[in-house]
Amino acid sequence: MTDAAIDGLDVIDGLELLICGLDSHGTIHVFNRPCERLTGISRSDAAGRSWLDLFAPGERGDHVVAMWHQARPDAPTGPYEALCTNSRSIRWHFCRWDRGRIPGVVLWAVGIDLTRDREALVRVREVERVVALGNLVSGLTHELRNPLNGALLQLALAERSLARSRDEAVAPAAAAIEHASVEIRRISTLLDDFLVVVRPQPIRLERCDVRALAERALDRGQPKATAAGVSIALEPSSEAIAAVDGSRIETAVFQLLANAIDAAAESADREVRVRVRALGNAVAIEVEDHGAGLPSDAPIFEPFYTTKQGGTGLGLAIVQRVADDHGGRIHHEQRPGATVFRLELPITGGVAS
Amino acid sequence: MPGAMSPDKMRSLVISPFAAERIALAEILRSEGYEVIAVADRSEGLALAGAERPDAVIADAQVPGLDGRALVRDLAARGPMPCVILLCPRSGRALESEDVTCLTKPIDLGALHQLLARLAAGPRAA
Repeated sequence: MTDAAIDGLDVIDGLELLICGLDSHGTIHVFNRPCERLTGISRSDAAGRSWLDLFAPGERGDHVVAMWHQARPDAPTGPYEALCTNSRSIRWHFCRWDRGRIPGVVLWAVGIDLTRDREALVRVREVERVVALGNLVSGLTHELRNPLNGALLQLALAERSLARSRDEAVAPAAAAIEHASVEIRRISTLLDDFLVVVRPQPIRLERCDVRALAERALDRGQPKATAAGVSIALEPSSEAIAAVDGSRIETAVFQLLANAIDAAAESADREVRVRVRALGNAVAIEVEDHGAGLPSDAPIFEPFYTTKQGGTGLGLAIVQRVADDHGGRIHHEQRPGATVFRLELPITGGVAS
Repeated sequence: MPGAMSPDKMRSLVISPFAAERIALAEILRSEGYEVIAVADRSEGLALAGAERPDAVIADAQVPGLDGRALVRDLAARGPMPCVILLCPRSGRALESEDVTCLTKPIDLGALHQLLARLAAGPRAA
């Protein structure tokens, strides 16, 4: 490509469009600035290379060539979409124009980079899919509550009938009813937790003292701690203000606390410590126990992963969900003799702000 | 409002299309001395609410063709508002008012008894 060939073509460099001038073999002679920016290849390096190799690798070359032949000045062919070498998605139109003043150039390829539009579309579709799935799951879990309620009430009725009997032979039946009731209540808890994980819910951000939320979570966890013979304590600190959805943060901290209480209950050191710290542009909540700890490769944040008998495996998935919704993160750290879960939240409310 | 009622003078109307729920609820409440009418059908339930004037209506919040809000409206149109307890498959806090309480399924029988006992003890405001 000579400088003479580029002279007078400044106008095509100023466009957002990709413009290539090709000879009858599809060899590049003109390569505008947007083409350089897109491919990372300079016009001097692009000159002499095959347009097909650069912009439509792996595509059917004969198909493109056939389009080139159909192209006329008054009737451009296309659109033709292809992924170029760096995986950007380009929509091309071809136009024959062999009366120009650039020697050898008979065909012009004009392209628009659709990558960002495509990515946005993919994100929109993904969100739509998640919302649709969430609504479906939400509908199902609500429907399931009707038969669960019927079953539990019937069991309560049976329990009352048996309680009136003086016959000791009914004792196993009464125990069976109690077991069945516990299992049905477990399904109900599972549905509640599952909904939190799968259903996209808008978060309501308000400036809150995260320390006060942690205190509330500790109050909620106290009966469980007492029953397990575990002591729970919030370490002294100053207030930590952040824009958060208070009830969901309280739920997340409660989930972390409940896990820590379970771990502490199985260990010699029956103490769980909670810390809240202001970190400049973030607030961190740490929950520490001295139980057996977790294997480093365990998929603990995956829904339904659990190490506990009777666990739903949704507790940490809930925490992850709450962290994600706040633009924060949840982190697990195994220190010698201590397991620490750390929930970090941006003070501005992150993604939702 | 009437004064304190003993359970056997309190009348409850149960409206639910779910047989297991309806039958068990009616039996449990009867065993505790409440007078109970139980029906599956909504319009039959509304007619009974008008004719029998129950003290409490315990209804599934999603009786087919009717949501909790519409049920409350239709009951109010038939005379003095009974105490309404809606059994909701999801949190029904938005439906609650002075006369309407929601219990999320599966319901806590203890909470239901408390509500009915409070009603039996005297005026709702108490």
